[in-house]
Amino acid sequence: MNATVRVHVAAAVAMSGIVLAASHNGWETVYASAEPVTWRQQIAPLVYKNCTSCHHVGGSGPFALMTYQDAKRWGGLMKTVTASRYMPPWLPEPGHTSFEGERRLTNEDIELVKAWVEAGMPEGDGSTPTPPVYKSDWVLGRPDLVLEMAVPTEVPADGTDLFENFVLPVPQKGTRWVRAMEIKPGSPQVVHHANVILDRTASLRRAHPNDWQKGIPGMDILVDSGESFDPDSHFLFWKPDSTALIEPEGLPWRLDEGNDLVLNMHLKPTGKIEHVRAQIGLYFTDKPATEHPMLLQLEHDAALDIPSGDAAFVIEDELKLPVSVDVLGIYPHAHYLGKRMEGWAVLPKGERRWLILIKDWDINRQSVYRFAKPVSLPRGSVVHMRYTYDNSANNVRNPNSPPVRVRAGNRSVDEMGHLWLQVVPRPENQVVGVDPRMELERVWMEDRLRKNAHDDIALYNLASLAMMKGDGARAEELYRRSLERHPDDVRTLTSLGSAMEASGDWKSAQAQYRAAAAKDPNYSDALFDLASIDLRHDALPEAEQLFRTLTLSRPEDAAARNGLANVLLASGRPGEAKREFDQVLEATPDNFDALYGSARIEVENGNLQLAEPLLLRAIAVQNDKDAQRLLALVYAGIGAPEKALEHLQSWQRLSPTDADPHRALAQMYSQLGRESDAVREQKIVVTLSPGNAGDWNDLGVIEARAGDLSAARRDLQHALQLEPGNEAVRANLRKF
Amino acid sequence: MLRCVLSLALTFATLPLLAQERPTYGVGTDGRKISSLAAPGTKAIVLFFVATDCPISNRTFPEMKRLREEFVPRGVRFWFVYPNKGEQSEKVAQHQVAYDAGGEAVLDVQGKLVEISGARVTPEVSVLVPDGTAGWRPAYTGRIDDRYVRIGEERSHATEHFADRALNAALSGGRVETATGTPVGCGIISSKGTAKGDSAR
Repeated sequence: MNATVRVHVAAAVAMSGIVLAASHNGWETVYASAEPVTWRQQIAPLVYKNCTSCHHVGGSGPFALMTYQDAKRWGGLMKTVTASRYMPPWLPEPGHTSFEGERRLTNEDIELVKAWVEAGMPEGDGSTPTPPVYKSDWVLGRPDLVLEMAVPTEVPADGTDLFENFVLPVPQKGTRWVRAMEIKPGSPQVVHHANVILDRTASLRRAHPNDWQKGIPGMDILVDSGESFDPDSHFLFWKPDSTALIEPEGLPWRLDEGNDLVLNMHLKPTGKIEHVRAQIGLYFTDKPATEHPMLLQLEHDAALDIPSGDAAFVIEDELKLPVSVDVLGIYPHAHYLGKRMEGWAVLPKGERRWLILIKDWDINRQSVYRFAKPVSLPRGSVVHMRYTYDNSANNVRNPNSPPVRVRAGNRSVDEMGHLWLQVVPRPENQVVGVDPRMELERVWMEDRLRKNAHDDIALYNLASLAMMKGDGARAEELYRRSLERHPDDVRTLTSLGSAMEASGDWKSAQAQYRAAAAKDPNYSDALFDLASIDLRHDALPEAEQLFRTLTLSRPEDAAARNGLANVLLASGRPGEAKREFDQVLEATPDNFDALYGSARIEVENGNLQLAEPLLLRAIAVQNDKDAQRLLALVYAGIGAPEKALEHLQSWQRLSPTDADPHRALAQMYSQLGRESDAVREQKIVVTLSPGNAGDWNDLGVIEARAGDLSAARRDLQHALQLEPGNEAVRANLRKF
Repeated sequence: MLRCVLSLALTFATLPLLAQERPTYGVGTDGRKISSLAAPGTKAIVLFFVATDCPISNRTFPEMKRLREEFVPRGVRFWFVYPNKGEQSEKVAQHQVAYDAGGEAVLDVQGKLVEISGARVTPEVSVLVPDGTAGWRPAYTGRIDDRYVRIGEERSHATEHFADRALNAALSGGRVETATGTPVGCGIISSKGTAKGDSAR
C-alpha cells in the first residue's frame, strides 16, 4: 500500500476514535469508541483503492463492490477474505522488498473491515465517496494493432484448470517497437492469468501445424529463439487486475516481421460452459529501445523428484553474476505443490539482500513483480533461490489424491521450480561491440549444464556463444556432446558444420552439411549452408541446384534467391542473375543483398550511373563496407573524386584494422595532389601491413612526390630488404 | 406384493396431510407459488442452496447436476433454491438454464426453506426425508463435498462426497451421517435476515 492510503486511513482512524497501540507484530487496533466505522468514511476509500480494480461490473472479480449495496451484500465475505489475506491477492511477504503496485492491506485496514462488518455495515453520514471509473474499452485508446485468437476456445463447465497456448501470428512488415500492450481476455472471470511469449521463429506454430489456432496444452512452453543471439526479453504478464502494460522509458520491446505472439492462458472452469476469445492490443513507438534487458532463470527441475508424502522437499539454485546488473522484475513459478519460495542475493561484500519471499505459494494468485526501484547487483553477486514443496495429503492443493511421486514436467500434476529475473546490465559493463548479456547467458547455461550434464538447450546455447566468439573448436566439442544423445538431430548436425567452417576446415564443414542435408532433405538450413559454402568454394553446379531447390519450395525466400543470383553471377551469367535480384527487389525493395548484387552487375556492365542509386539505397538500408567501397569506385569512375573520398572514408571507418581502405585513400589523395594526406594514409598501410614490399614501395613513391626524397629512399630500401628481387622498387630507387 | 401394498398405504396416508397444510415454500421462476415440494411417493427431497452471483456456488453446479441426474431416477426430487433477498425471477431463470437447464429453481422469498433446512451459505445442500405425519425433515444439511476447504483454498477434485453419501444412506434406510466441517461459499442473505452463521468461510 502506498503512503497516500496510509495517511488517509490514519486520518479516518482519528475521526472514528480508534486508538492504535503498537505491538511486537506491528499495529493492532483497539476500539475505544462506540462510534462505528462506516462505508462513507473509511470503507469506501479502502475498497476503491484495493478492490474495485477487479470488482467492478465487467471486471474480473466475480461481483462488484462499487456501491454501498454491493459492499453490504458481500461484507461477511470481505471480512473473511481480508482477515485471511486471501484478498487482495498479494503473495510476497512485506518488509523484504518493495514492489510496484503492492496490494497488501495493512493490519489497520483489516481491522477496519472487521469493525465495520461487526457493527452491522453502516453506511454512515457525509458525502457519498466518488467511485473510480473503469473503462470497458482499451485503456490507452484504440491500439495500433489488435491481434485476436483465431477461434474461441471452449472451457468445460467442470474439471481441473486448463493451461492452454494460443498462437497469434503478427501480420506486419518490418520491425516495430511496442511501448504498451493490453490483453483483453474476453471472459475475465474465466482467465486466471496469462503470459505472452514472443516466438521469434514461429516455432510453436510450425511444431503444431494442425492445432496452433485451437490451443496447445501445457503450463510452460519452450519456443525456439533461432540461430542468432537475441536475448531481448520482457515480462508480458496479465493478471485479473491488469490493464495496459506500459513499458518503462527506453525499454519498448521489439516485434519483428514473422514473429508470433503465444498467449499462454490459465483457464478456470466456472460451472457452465464458457467461450474465451482473447485479444491483444499493441501500441507502437518510433523510438527504438535504448536499454536491452534479458530474462535470467534460476531453476533446478532436474532435482525435482518429490516422494509422495514429503511435506518439505527443497530445491536450490544459485548463479554468480559475471557483470553488474539492475534487476527490474521477478517472476517466481511453481505448480500446486510449491509452498515457500525464497529468492535473495549475496553481494560481493557479503551483504544479503532479499529479492522475494513467499510463505504460502498459490498458483492461482501468481504474478510478475516489478521492483519499485531497480535492484542493483554488482558483478560477483550470487543470486539464490530456495523452494520448498509439500507433497503430503495435508496440502489441499495437491492435485494427486492420494499423493504420488512427482517430477518436473509441463502438466499441472507435475512440478516446476523457476525463478525468473529481468535484468539490464549496468552501463559500466558496456564495451563497444560486446553485448554483456553474452556473459550472463554463458554463466546461466554453464549453471544449467552443471545441474544436468545432458541439458541440450545449455549445450546448444553454449556452442552458439562459442561460435560468436569465433571459437569453432569449442563449439564443435559442445555440438558433438549434444549429438551423442541425439545423433539424428539435423539442426545440431548442421550447426556442427558451421563450427567446422569457423575452425577453418571448410572441406569437413561441406561434408557435414551434406550429411545433414542427406539426413533431412527438407531441412532448409542445411541446404542453404551447403549451397553457401559451395558458392564460396566454387562448387557452383551443386550450389545452383541447391539454391534452385530452396527457391522452388519457398519462392519468397529472399536469401535463397539472392544466393542463386550470386551463383549465376559467379558462373558468368549476369543476365540471369539480374532477373533473380529483380524478383527479390519486387517483393522487398529494401533488400540489401539484392540492391548490392544488382549494383555489382551494373558496375561489371560499365553502367556506373545505374549502379550509383542502387548503392545509395543499399547503404541506406545497411551501412556496409563492401557497398561503401563499391560506391567509392563508382564515384571515382564517373569523375567525382570528392564523393569517392567520402565513401572511402566511410569504408575505412567500418574496417578500422583493414589496410585496404587506407591503401585506396592514399591513391585517391595522391591522384588529387594531396600528397601529405596520401603519405599519412600510406604510413597507416605499412603499419597495419608491415611485411608487404609493394606497400613500402608505394610509400616511397608518394613521399618522393611530396618532396621528401630521403624518406622515399629509406622506405624504398626497406621494400628492397623485404623483396630483394623486386624490379619496380629497384627502378624507383634509381629514379629518386 | 406386500411391499407394494404398504407403499401405497403410506402414500395415501400422507396425501391428506399435505393437502390440509398447503404451505408456500417459495415461488417458481414463472411466478407460481410452490405449495408442494414433492409428489406423493417421493423418497427424498434435495434442496441445493445457490445464488446467481456466488462463484463457488456456480462452480459447484456440475456436481449438483451430476447428483440430480443420478438420483432423480431413484425417486428423489431436486430443487435449486435461490434464498437471497433481491434475487429476480428472470435472472434466476436464465442462471438456472445456463448452469443446469434440467434443474428446477425456486425463489425462497419468505425464507421458509432456509428456516426448514438451516442452510447458511450457497452452495449448501439439505436432504429432506419423510417425517411421518409431519411431512419432511432435514436429515442432512451441510457441505456437498469437500472440494472447498476455505475461501481461496480448494482441491482439484473432491475427495469426500457428503451429499452423495447422505442420499444413498437415506434411500437405503441407513443412518445419515451428521454434517461435519463448515460449508464454504457466500453467506445467505435471506428475507428473514441473515442466516445463522452468515459469514462465508
